[in-house]
Amino acid sequence: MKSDSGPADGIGTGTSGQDRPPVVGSPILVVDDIEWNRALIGTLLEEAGYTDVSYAVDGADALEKIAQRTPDLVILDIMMPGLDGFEVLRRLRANPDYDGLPVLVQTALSGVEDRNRAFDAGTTDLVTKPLDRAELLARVSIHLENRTLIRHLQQYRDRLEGELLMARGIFEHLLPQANALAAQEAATGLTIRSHMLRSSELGGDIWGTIRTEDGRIGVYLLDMAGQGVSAALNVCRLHSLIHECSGLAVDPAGFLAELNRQARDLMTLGEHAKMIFGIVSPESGVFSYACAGASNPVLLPPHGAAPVFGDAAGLPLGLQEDAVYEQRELPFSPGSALLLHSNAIFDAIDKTEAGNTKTYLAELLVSAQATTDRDGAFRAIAGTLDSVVGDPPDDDHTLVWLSH
Amino acid sequence: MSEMDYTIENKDQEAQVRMTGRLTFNDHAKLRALIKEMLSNPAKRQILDLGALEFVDSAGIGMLLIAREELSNLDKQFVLRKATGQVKRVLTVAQLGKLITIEE
Repeated sequence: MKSDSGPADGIGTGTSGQDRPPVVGSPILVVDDIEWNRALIGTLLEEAGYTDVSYAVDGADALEKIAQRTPDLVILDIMMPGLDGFEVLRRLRANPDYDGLPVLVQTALSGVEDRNRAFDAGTTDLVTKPLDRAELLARVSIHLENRTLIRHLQQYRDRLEGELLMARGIFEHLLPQANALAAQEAATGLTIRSHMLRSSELGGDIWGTIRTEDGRIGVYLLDMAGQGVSAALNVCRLHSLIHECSGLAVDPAGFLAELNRQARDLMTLGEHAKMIFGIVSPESGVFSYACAGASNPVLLPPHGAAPVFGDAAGLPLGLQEDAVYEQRELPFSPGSALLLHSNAIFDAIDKTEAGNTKTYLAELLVSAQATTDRDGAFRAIAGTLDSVVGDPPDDDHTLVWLSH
Repeated sequence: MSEMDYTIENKDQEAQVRMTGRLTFNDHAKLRALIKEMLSNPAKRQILDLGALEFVDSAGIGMLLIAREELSNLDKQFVLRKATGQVKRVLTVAQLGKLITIEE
């Protein structure tokens, strides 16, 4: 297909691509103090199909016209009485409103120095006088097309940024809200804290609490495979699923098995989520949990004893219809704390020279435990791990902290 | 941080794919191309040698599962071999041995 969007005779369409945007309607301002020159350029442009050509008779007139309505291209004469072309350029380039406005300077300047001076002042491109029709039209169309493409990209980017920001707001709302957490803390006597760093605008990690039917508190941390928008969409689906199935939460292994069954129908081949879900029973001093390939829960016993890493093996959700999950327990006596985390820490520490991740994490937890208040301990751990995973991290990074 | 790359060597009834670098979200197109090559390769057994693979993320695991499914649809066997370090840990924690043949 021949593009009919460029100048009518097809001269100087810049590139032969069919994806070039239509530019014949783009506003062009011709600045020249000699009427004959303005008429010549105007005729050439109109013959080539351009429909929106206006004129300025000198530098001051040009600045005024541009201020009234910014054109998509300025064709500027250099030698003019009063404000010359150099001055017009300098003033345009000093104003950020005109960033990216292409200025095509028509000049008889043939010396390299003069041409460089024009470029230094902010010229986008030059056309030599006497004007050659084909050259003029080629340069006009290429600069108008570039201008239009960049504008399209900018508009696309702005729209996408706005959409992502709104989506992020929705996503944030899925996470436990402060007042709900405070109520659960009051009811259970536990301290619940979390910390999250995302690798992109939208994340694939989510955590939350569930009040079980027998009045205990369940905590989950879910890490969706992949990143960005697609992971976030899947997180939203699983978040709904988790809360629909929350009646089963009294039995962590059975709960994961049901989530897995339903997740398999929701997700396409290869999509999966790692998840840990556990119930805290402050009275009996036990954290009973089940894992679908999540990271090991870490128990920090009271009195500075060494941290205990719970087993976390299990098939991620969404891969095998009849996956069975194992119920496991960690002691959770008064004075203990429990850390759940996504696997970003493991992957990040693997890359450093810190050596074995569990050793590293254990040392960090023990040193943080020396802090007198538990909030301080969590802040210290989160701060140190932030510097390990980086901000933004390569993968979404989430910590959930429960202290008894 | 090197992107994933691979070489394919055909031996008897097996095709051996040696994977290097880091297999992540960003390698989607390349892994898609590899799966296509494995699907059209006549060998019944497609071995993925992970000995030189440094890292795999969850999206990479997802793509390996897609490979397994598509190969099994064509009655081809898909085997992961020699995983070490982080790659081995990820395969183990996710118990992927239940879904894909994993050999030392």
